[in-house]
Amino acid sequence: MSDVRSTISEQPTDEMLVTNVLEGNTGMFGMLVRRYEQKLLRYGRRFMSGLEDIEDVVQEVFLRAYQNLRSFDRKRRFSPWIYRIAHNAFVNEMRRATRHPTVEFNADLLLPHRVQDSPENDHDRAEMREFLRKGLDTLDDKYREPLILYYFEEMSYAEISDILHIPVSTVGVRINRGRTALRKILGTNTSL
Amino acid sequence: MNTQSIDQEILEKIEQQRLTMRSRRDLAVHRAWLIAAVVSCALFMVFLASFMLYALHRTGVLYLPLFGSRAIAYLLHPFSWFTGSLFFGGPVLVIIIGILVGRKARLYRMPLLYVWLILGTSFLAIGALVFMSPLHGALQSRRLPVLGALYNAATCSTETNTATGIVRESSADGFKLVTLSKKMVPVRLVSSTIIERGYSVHDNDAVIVIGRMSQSVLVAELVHRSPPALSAEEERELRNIDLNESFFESR
Repeated sequence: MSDVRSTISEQPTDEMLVTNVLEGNTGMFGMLVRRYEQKLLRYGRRFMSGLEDIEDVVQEVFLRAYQNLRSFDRKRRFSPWIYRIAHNAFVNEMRRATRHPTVEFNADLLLPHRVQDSPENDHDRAEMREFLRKGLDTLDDKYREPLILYYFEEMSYAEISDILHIPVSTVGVRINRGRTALRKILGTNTSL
Repeated sequence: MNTQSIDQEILEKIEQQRLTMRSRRDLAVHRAWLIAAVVSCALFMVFLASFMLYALHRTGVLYLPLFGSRAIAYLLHPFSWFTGSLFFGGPVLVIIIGILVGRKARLYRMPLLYVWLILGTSFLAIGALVFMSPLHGALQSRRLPVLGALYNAATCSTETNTATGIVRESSADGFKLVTLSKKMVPVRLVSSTIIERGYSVHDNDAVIVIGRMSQSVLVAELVHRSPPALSAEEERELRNIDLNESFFESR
């Protein structure tokens, strides 16, 4: 057990790997790809359900990440940075596939919102994930993505704000509204 | 595509130099462009804000609140097309700057209204400082080719509704107003005209008049002693203009 722990603690962080790659050890980029490949595929499948070629889009995300690696601010976390690239790639892909522009401005970006972040235990979160699996496709895009990032990718509000480039309070309000919408869609009385 | 091969494929591309990182020079140029764009927009916004204050000051609109609540309705009414476009163009620029700066400074984490208010207030505050400096007065007095026309358009075209100038040939039912652009505007006082409390119109007074043009006569609705829209030198110059001069009529 202790060996496992030490192995885990000795794993280089994403930011360390980026530093290595930037110092010339480009092979380390493969490790980053392996770490994020499944996560981004899962994120893409949930975000763009119904669209094919998600693997190609994810590969494109890694290509762009490598090309722009020098612009990554190593004082920040790597994961929101690569998810941001993925978000942009997925949005572009959806625009291309559906041939209509995605409206990114919403009134909820304008004003501050008071969000009561009710603490959820593991059971609540697992239950919510189950509801999301059932009803995710029926949700509006603007609610779907924050919910995916929050419940499946386990991002904080601030990280979601960094990925979607929307105010932190808007993240909170969209997650709450998304939960309410999901409850209505599934017609359940369960407190989500 | 086999998902397990993504990392191999990418590493292969890197090894074969088919995939390269953007160079430091590339990124530095991109950053420099961004900074230049933000600085240019910000400088332009400061100029715009100070110019707007200057135009409002010269036309007297800035001092409309002196007339009390009645003048509120006139606040938008007497704007020239130019001042109006400044008011609408300014916020658009603030939004553009917000977008440019936001990416680097994480401004997107705040509600847009806060970002716009912070940027707008900052530009207005710095613009007020520039407005108080002699910059605009100096620029206008130089009568530069394009800028000169711009200054004239912004500061002298609202006389259909407001006029600031010197009272000449005053009588019980009106006076002649020699305006900043050295035009002579006949002003008629009517029973509904509101004159600043405790003030009676005298020759050579500097006043601001708000009213409506009717057959080349400005029917005054509000008359107030002029706030410092006119410099002492301008006041002196306007007082000394001979009303019978032929050039005056032709303007």
